[in-house]
Amino acid sequence: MESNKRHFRRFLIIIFCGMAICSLFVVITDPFYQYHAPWFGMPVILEDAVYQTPGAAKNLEYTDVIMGTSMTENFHTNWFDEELGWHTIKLSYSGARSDDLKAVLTAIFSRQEPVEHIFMDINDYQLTEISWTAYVVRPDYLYDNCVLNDYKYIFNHGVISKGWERVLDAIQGVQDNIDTAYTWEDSKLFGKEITLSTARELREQLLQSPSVENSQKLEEKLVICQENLDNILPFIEQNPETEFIIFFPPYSILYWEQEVLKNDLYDKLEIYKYAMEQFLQYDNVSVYYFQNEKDIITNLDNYRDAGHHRPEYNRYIFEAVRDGKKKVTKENVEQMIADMYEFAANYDYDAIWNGTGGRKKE
Amino acid sequence: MLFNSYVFLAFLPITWMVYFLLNHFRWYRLAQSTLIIASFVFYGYEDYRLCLLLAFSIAVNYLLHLGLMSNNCREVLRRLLLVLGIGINLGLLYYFKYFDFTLENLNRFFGTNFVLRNIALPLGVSFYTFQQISFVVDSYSRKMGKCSLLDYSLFVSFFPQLVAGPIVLHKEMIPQFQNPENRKINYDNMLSGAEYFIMGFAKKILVADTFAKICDAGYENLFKLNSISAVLTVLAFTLEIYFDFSGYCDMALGLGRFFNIIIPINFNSPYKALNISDFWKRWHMTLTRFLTTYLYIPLGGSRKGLMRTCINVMLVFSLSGLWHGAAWSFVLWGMMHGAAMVVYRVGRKVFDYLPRVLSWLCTFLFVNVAWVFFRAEYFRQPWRLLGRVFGGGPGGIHPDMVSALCDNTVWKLTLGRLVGLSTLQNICQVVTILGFAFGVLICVKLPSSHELVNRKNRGTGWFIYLSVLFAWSFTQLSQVSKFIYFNF
Repeated sequence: MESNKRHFRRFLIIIFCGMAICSLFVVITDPFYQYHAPWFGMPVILEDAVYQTPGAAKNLEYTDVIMGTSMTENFHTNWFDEELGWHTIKLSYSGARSDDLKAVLTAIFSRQEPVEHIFMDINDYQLTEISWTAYVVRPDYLYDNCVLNDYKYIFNHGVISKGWERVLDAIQGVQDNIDTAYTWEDSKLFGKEITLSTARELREQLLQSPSVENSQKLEEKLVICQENLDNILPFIEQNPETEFIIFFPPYSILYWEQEVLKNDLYDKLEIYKYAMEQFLQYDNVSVYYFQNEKDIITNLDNYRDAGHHRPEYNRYIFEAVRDGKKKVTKENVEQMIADMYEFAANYDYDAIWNGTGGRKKE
Repeated sequence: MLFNSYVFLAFLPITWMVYFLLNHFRWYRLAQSTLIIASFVFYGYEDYRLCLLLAFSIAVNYLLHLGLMSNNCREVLRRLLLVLGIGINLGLLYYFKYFDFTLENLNRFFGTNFVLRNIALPLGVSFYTFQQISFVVDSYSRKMGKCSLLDYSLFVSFFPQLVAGPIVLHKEMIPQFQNPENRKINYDNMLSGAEYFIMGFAKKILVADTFAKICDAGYENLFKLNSISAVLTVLAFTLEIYFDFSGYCDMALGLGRFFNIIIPINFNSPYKALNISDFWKRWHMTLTRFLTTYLYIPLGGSRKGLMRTCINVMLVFSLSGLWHGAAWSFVLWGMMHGAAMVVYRVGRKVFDYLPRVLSWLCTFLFVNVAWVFFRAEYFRQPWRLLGRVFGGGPGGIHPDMVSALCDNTVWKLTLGRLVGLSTLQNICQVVTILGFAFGVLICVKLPSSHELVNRKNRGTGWFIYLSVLFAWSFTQLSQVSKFIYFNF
């Protein structure tokens, strides 16, 4: 009995030491940057936005941020650093909903250091959906500042594996990937055929039941839009020193066809207009509008699906913003949306599918 | 609440401390009540309504017990109470587990249109129903004295064995609850409890869950499996179900010991069995004991001639199959085992003279094939899988099955930096085969958890090994999920 008491105590001590070693390894390697920027020559490797974004936002060095959805993933931070003199980090979050943006913005503004620029996109569903189910459950224990739930990070096999990868990176002299983090420019195929194939099924469904998605009134949609904007606007208001550069990316003409088939084109454009007007209330926001880039959006070779364009157009957007083109003002927003409606409502969509190329109806 | 969850790992030490603190101050009833309340919290953590069902079941059975043990109760009335008791217990089990199954079959065979109720099966109801039936039957035959409501409630609800057994009997539990010696911390039990718990924890999390992933990957690619992948899919389930259930039982044994309660052994290296009868003396032993005592023997057992014995065996095994789940696949699995028991009983002289390796192989192969029917999701699936075993053709192990074992492992990450992709893939194939060989080796050659715990001299090395197992398993409770949105 006595010896077993000793054994049991020793056993507990060994377990405690084992757990301590395990946690020490995670705290030192800290692959999701929850506690510190990398130590001992370990590189910054951003590859898992959902898990890494909050830590990267809190603990990595930067003064400027690229954030938003997959539409921002193909921007290179070097463009911003070299041509605009920024010190940029990319905190893009594929499929980010407005409350995900809120989580990222919260992490960014929880730091003491000032943030000079935030460059972000705004997507359709970030304004129109409120209860959209995320593709992965956000690990909230990484997003809050509560240490009590950090055991899920510290004692986590996936985190230990990642930490080990960073150790191997350090040994092999792997460099930071901040410039190309999250890019998918090389891993995806683009072209008209691919783009059409990704949109075909939805089109057929919509052709069979065109107005199925348009049972809500515009006023109700605007309420949802405002709820979504409420996840973002307070950050703009509370951080007047930070300049927010917000752009609306150029979706392909197939996106606009879907809106027409849903009988939702007018409402959707009203929502975009409403959102832009909300953003434009603030002096520290500049808004850029690329949805009306007719040459880009009507050439389906530029896309891989109805929304995602070639990486060349990330460069194009960057240059336009750099040069102050495509800027939206309180004065031109009305006309711009009206023109877009005119264009999208009258486009000859059937011609795309007939293989004769896009043409306007006579 | 699952044993392999964070919340349980917080629940356990709190419950333990409160229990022994109250005992330390000699507040025994309060301590016991605390353990009962904790068990109810454990049981109703996900759905509080489960507690109501459990409380109802305990109350009814305890009232029946009081009636049956009463000296003033006439024999006819006692018999009526017995029938009522068995009826209520089986009725509850039937309603929650088999009602939809009955409707489904009526619809299928008689063309009726009953709407299924989609009744959720309450956790552990199959286990505690059997425990309570044994209690009522033994009360009827006065094989026990009166027991208090507290003792009885704890016997049924004691959280280590509530959800998935073992199916314990009142006579082995209640005296332990009453023993004053068990109210003090006992470091022998603490130590062996920790050993059992960690081994069970690791069996479940590291081994069973890994084989489960491999098995699922095999079934997902059923139509594309070559022979070796099909064989490994079969074997993966054989290993998964063993490590899952025996891991759970080891955890239960360990948890029981923390509270100085010795829970009966439920698994004793079943895949070491040399014949099917031996297998059932080693696999889910408390179920075999229950069915033998309360079904097989009352049916006449082996006392009424060979024919009747065979019928009894078939009946018991078919019902055992049905107890495992409300589907014909389980019944078929039970009948296969029943038939194997009958064949063994008839041809015992031949089987017992086979070389040991051959008799082990026959038993193991049969058990494997039977598990294919147990795992079946639809009628043709087992035949398809067995068809792939024989007609799947040559080739390597299916990549999804290899990934299930090798992906996100530290060794693969490290090797991946050193060797080329094709070499890595070949290494992963070999590692997968070795993984299976190791799984079978644990089952067949290595000492059981009971043998390991009962060794006299366990050095520091053994405790370091267990600590590593615990830390490794514990870190598996939290994972980094893959972000799949990127398939746009």
